[in-house]
Amino acid sequence: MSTVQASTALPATTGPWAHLDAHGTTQLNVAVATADGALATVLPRGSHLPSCGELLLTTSGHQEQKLRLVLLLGLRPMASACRVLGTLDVPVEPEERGLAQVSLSVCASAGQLCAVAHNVRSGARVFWVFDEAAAEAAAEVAADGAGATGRGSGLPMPWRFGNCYAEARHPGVVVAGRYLPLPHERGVAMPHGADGAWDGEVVPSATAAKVRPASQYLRWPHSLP
Amino acid sequence: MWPASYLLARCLAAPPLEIAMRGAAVIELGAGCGLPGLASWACGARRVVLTDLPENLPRLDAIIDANGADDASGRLRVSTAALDWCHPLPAALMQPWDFVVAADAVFWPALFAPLLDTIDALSQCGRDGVRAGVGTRVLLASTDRGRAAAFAAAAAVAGWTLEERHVDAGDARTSVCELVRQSGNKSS
Repeated sequence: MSTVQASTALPATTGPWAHLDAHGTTQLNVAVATADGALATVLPRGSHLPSCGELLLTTSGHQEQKLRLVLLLGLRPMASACRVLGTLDVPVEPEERGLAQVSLSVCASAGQLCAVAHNVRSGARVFWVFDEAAAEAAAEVAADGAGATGRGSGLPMPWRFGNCYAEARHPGVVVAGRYLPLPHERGVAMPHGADGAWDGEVVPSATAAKVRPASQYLRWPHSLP
Repeated sequence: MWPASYLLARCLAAPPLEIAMRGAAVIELGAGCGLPGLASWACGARRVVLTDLPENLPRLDAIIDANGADDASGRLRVSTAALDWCHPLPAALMQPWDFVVAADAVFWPALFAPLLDTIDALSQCGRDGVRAGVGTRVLLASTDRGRAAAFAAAAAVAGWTLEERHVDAGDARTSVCELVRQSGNKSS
């Protein structure tokens, strides 16, 4: 574990939540910049404080050694149009893109904004607490191009089931804060014409072999409703 | 593992179900990789049984081993059991269940009726071994591949209503529904 930046709780008037609406809800999204220059929202606008959000992220490039999480505040869809709150660098194991899993949790109260990035496979955690001065410094770094997108930038993409980014299959998933390894079957021969069937779609001829009554539909396809 | 499995797991691990999972007895039908059942375990379920056809149990056992979730120590709470929907419910599974969960179990129309019969039997196993039909919640996740309407119709005939609980933000075809007994229909 390591602490990147830390500060004491900020007064609401100087913190990121100076713009609450009359109902005490946030008016801007808290998001993380993604490798395509867009945002992945962690805490949506309209959240009642205190509030927490969580997002599972992954690498966008092969053999990345870190995931650079640029926290943003704003409403516009592009990262470059939002205010930079801070940056966390989370070390990840170099491997094919899309396989690393980093869970980002953001918690906000009226006077404080903090985040924890958790590499769910290694267990490493990086903590971050909003600091006005640090945010300004991070914004300057971002303006200088350090937050540029593309391979090697370390910017993440939201993790998704099906892993459209990589040929390899995920070795497990995170649920309820716990990493659940799910060993896959190896050497399973898919039926002819079922190439690319690992995208989450059912291959009828594959499943029917395991589901006895369904075999009738393969024998008499016209009986499908 | 299919998207519906992942969606159901996330749904079980999020409020309000996350709280209901604590201390619950959960049975998963057609478990495959058993992700929803393992998610229940991760949320604090008291007892989880992953069921599938007998030939699929070795894989499930391996996954339980990989997760350190076997009950050999008497402290952890996940096990497997063979369950063929086309056969009568094994006596070992005639216990009170707080949750019956299944992901992508409604692909083959030939299995709609056996699945609904199995759910009906499981949901009516009372806490004293009496068929009471109280308190069991049935959650089904599926990706609609053109058969959702047919399954809803089959469920209605069997006295159930499908109520949508959660839809995958990334794929509107994938959703989690709760199977609720139609009012006035106590059992079949």
